[in-house]
Amino acid sequence: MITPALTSLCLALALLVPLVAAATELTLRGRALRLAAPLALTAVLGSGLLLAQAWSSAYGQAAVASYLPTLVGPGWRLAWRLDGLALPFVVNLLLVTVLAFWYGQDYVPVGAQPHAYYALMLLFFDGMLGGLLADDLVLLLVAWEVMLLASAALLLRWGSGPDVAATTGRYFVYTQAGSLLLMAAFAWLANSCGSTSPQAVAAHIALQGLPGLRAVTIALLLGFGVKMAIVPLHGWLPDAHAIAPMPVTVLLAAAMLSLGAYGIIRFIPGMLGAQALAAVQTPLLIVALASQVYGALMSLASRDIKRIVAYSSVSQMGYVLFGVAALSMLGLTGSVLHLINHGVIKALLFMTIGLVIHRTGRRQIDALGGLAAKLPWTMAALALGGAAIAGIPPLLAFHSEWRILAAGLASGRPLLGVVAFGAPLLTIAYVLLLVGRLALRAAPERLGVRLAPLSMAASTAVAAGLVLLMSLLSGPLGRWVASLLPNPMGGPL
Amino acid sequence: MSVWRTGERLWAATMVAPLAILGTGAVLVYLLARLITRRNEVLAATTALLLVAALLATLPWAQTAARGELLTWPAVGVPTLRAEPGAALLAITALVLGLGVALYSGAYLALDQRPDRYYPLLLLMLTGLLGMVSAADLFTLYLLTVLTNASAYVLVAFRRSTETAIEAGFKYAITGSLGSVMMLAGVGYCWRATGTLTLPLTALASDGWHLLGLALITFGLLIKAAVFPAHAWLPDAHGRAPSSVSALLSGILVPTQLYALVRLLLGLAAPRAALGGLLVGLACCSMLTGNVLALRQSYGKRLLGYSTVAQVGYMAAAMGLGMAYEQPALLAAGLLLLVAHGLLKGVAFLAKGMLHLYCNATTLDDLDGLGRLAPFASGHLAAVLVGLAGVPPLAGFVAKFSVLWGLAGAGSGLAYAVGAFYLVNSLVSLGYYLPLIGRLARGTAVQSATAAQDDTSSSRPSLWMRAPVAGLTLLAVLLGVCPGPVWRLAEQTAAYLLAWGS
Repeated sequence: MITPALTSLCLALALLVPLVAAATELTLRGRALRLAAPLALTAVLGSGLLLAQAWSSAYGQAAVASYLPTLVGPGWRLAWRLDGLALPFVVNLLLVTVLAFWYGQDYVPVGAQPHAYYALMLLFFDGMLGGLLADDLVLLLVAWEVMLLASAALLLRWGSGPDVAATTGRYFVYTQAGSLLLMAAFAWLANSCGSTSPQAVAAHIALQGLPGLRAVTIALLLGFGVKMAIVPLHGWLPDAHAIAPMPVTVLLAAAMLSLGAYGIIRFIPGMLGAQALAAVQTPLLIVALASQVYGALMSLASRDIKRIVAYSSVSQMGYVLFGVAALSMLGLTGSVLHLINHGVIKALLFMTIGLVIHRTGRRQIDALGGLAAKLPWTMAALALGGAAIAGIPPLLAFHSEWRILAAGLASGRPLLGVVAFGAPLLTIAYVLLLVGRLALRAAPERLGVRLAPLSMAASTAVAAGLVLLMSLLSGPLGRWVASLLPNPMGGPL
Repeated sequence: MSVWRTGERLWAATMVAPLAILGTGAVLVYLLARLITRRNEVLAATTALLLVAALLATLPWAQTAARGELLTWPAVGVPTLRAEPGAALLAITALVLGLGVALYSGAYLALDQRPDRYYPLLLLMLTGLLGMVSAADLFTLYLLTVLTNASAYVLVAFRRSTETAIEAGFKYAITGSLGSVMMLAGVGYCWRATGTLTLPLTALASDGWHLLGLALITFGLLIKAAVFPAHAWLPDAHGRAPSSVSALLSGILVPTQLYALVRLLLGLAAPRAALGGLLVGLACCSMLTGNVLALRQSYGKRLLGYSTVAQVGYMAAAMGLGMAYEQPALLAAGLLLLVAHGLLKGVAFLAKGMLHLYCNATTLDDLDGLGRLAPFASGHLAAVLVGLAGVPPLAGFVAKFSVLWGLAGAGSGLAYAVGAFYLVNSLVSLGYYLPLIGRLARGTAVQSATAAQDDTSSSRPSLWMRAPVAGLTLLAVLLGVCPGPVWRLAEQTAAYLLAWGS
């Protein structure tokens, strides 16, 4: 009996440690402020160790835990679950968070109040972790809002740009509209199935069906689609990414977007059943294609280098949705794999863009150029990230994109599957434009270059190393993800 | 026999103990102020102690509720009171909020000249409120409603040296008295038609006079609960009363009158679908009016007043649908919303009052950049505002989810349409909560605030104010994290009320 107790203790602690650390951050004063970043990093690493312990103590089963059943009501539970579907996302979240925290250690805009900044970052991390681990519909909503509040506060306080308040407001309202749809759908499920546990809901639906299944599916797709920034629900993304300080942008793009996709995978095929998704397959494939193409075109059209990379996320999330909507195990594996790959690559891209902005003081593409000579290592990292996001073999995203596109061809909508092959060409175009202009075009006049803090450069190097390592290991990585995933296309998770 | 009698009296005594403590307490505090000391802190502490005593005395009500037993004060004539689950729920909420307000006033009233009137009126208002939720006959209900409201009129106009206070108090008194007169006439007509005033009024409506009576009471209470179209007085009164008073008026008094109305309507031998439908229709108008008008406000407290109109609309919609479709879950969700809103709106007004006192902030423009200058009050105000918008971990979230959960079970197109309307409204409400928070978070403060800050000897707000604001916020978080106990009491109330008339 010791093992379940250990598992639930570890899961609870993994979520509590960042919270306690965030509270501790707020008490730091004076010279102790130097400890803000190390403390935050330690908390994330500690949380990661606890999660590893929880996973290993569950011996390959889902690690589950639930607490205080009588205090929370009406009917909902405080329950966490770390299973094969959540694990790749949790690993990705931990990696990206460590990189973002490390990168931000000496990042200038954070300067004045590092303790408040790290407290909010930890809260943001904890909200995302809670969203991945929540084993209860209400709890998921709570985690969703924690994530929103923390990130909105970070944007509002540390954002830079002409209209920080309005952009943050837009981000908040978009996400809140999504949350309200989720809330309505979950309330409906909880009432119809008599439980807020996803497993119980799935079992109930498999046995007795659900009135209004189509409406619930659409509400969930819209609700999670906002977080995933699928066209036409992406309106919050470019501005929010553009104003955020770079470590926050990294977390937004490399980890938070994945949560939207995770929600779709876990709660639509995983809970409502694959037939719920099958009913909306064609429109979903079309929306996914539209996202791929629109995001890439907007990347091509943007002048701000941060926006170029930000719009690329819209396009990449289109791939992910395409893989999910293909309704096959191949597509699903490809999507999960692509989310992990995208997380690491997008972190690397934003980190190099941050280095360029920091070292040159400029962010308009027309005001930059000739950096291959001035910033050779940064440009090498940018080229690596660009090649990776474009899916150039043998880099990692090739393997996941290939799975997604192949699943699209096999999905019974061959026309859409063929059209989808056009999107990677657009990706190559904006990557070439970005890297080519920054690195190779003649340098504009008076473009000075200054040094970057060591932590920024070192963390970027590690991110680049991670991209290379994952490319080398892409075969085993794919097999690992495929072995973890249960088959939601065949039944409830 | 005599043992039985003694036992019965003992029960009856526990029943009226909270009202007796508050009522005599009002006299005691007045005498204390006139005869011994007029020091504000002493009066505030005494009032707080009396409220704690009343709170302890109210706890048996909840126990009774759990056992399903009812206590009736001497079952002869008027006035009669009855401990019900709902009475316990509302009384405890009111007393907790009242306790916070009494302590807060220990600093907030420091510059006012007449604390000897303020605290007794506060106690009288709460006496009436406790009586209103536990009244077992119509006349008691009327009497105690008038007691509460009369105290409230005076409290709204408490700072009589300012022009706006007298105007707001006058407006409030006129509208409120109209409601009271309608209620009194209604009580008379009902008495004339049926010869009984015991609640629930289960007698079938026999003639036109009886119907007229019931309609008058209903409309009287609708006015007092600030339900559309009789909502216009609320932002005036709550926007201009001292913040501590607004906290009680918005937080508990107005919603309590809505509860009294729902309780009355559920007791009637009339088709619940029609009555509930009427309430839901008005409630939807309230939501929309409150939210849309709140978007256009330039004074912080008026904005909070309009937000109360909208929130009362949410409650009325949930309770009305619960009534129409006999859904205990919806009724309970409405009550949970009532408790959650009480705590959140209470803190909102108290925190706004702190900003007014320390930073001289009245208009929304004055709030610019106060986050740096007054982090405690601004932080709490921002927290409860997002809480009111339904963001966890504060209690607004669980209340909102419960409402949606209940709506999903109603099984009717109307309920779903109201649910969708509710969601749209809750999104619209972000349109005034978020800019307010954005103002607080802004970089620089306006001159007057900085000047006021310099005037105040200590920049740190008084503990008298910080403790209740932090305490009530903590309670709102606790309710949001562990709504279980309150939810169970709300469920009992709903089950009790739905079975009431039959």
